[in-house]
Amino acid sequence: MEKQFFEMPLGDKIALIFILAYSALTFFFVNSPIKLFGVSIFGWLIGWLMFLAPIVHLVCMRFDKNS
Amino acid sequence: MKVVEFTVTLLYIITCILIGIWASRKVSNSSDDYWVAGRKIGVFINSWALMAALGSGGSILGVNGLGFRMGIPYVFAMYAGAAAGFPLAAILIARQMRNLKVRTIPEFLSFRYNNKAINILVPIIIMVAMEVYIVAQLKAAGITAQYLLGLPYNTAVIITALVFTLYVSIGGMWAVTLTDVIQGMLMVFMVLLVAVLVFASFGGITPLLIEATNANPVLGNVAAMPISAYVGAFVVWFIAGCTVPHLVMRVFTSSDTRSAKLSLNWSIIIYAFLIIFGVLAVSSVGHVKFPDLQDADMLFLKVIETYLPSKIIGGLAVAAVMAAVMSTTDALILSVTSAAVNDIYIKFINPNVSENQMVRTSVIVTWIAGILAIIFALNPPPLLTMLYTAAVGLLGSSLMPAVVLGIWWKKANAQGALWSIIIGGALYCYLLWFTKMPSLSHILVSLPVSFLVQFVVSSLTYKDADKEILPQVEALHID
Repeated sequence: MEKQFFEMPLGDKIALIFILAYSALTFFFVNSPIKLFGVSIFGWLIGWLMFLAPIVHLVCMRFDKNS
Repeated sequence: MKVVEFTVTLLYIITCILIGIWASRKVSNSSDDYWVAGRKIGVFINSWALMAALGSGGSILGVNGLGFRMGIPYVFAMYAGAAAGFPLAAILIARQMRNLKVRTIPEFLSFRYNNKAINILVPIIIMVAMEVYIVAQLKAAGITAQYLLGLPYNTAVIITALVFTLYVSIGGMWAVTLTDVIQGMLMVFMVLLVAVLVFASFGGITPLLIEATNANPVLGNVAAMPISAYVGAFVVWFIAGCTVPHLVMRVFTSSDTRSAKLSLNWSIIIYAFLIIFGVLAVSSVGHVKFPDLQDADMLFLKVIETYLPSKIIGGLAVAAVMAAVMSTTDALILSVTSAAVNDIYIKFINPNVSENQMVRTSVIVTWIAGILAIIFALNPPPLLTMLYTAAVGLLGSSLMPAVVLGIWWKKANAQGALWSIIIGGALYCYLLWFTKMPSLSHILVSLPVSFLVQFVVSSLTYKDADKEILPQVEALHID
């Protein structure tokens, strides 16, 4: 059967799954009482996403021959 | 009038105009140079330009005020959406958009769907949304100059708008790119300088956070609001990188696909430093030094006054805030011009226009857009904040499925895209203006509905003729 979607490069696929999974998982901590230096763990986790998302994609781009 | 601060700001303004004059020599005869800087921008320049285009007045004034008022977790959730949205754009659209060598989002949609209604509707949505966005930015510039330079609000709005309209109109995307690089570096330098001084005065980041959260635990708490407000704040900006034209246009300026993807990622790493260190320093110190501050948006300006006693550095700080506003508004006004000239004038009014005439028309349209923005900003509508939020959400709800599925889904067709644009956009506006859903959560309904409409209508109306474009779409996935 013909595929309905165009194939995504492996590196991009891994990065996309990471970004979506990390973002979704982070929101499970939104009501967590755990705090680090006075700031909720949710704040730290979502803050780290700002660095992790681009860094993970930059690393994953190395898997993609076309890049 | 604060003479030293005003002189430093004036020097910054003159620099921007000189760059515009220099850039005008590069763009005078080529529309590709005018709108996409000849597609010659490398990773370093594009990363800073992208960061500056994303980092508006809100990324300096608004973000710190929001952190002060709503707490660090809420503001991180909102800005992490934008930060994760850039890698998302690098994954979902960068290669294909760059390979197609278009200049605007409507041009891509015209290639993919070839539908007259879409060709008319999308540029109009973009022009309205971007003009609203510009008015909001101009208002921020007016308030800043009024507070820090002592200029009247109206004078500040007119000067700011005239400056960026002038350099954009004569220098096009070359001027936008080069000024954005300087503006981006100025913003990051000033915010990090303020952050380092604040951290140093408390003996580090953690002593400051502990003192600030002891003074007011709200700073570190998840604010008492529905989780849908948090998720909505994240999602609105998560999809912005794929749909907001002044950001997507930077993909078109890249020298190649790899450069486009790298710049999207590097720009957000720089942006993350700007937001995270800015908020941790400024929002926190606000609860220690200015616990009774009424207008949270003034917090960054108060901290500058306290920690940057030098008038010259103070002047640079004013220039940094003006830079944040201008680096976004210049890209916004260019996206309005490209939608009007490239997507409406050339397509429907004068298809045989020469390159030279096209550039001259763009100059005229840029001035019309700039003057309209001044008129609205001098008497800003009372619902400006709602309209500005609606502008970003409207673009995401209406354009995201048409753009992303148009690139990745073989069965996406014109009927599906058209109805998804109409229903996604209309539903978002309805939910925003006529219901009492939690703040920013409207996108959580309108976006899935928009995707669903595209899937259902495309599947029901799919015909063999829709396959004709697929070899060309497939070619976009290969470098």
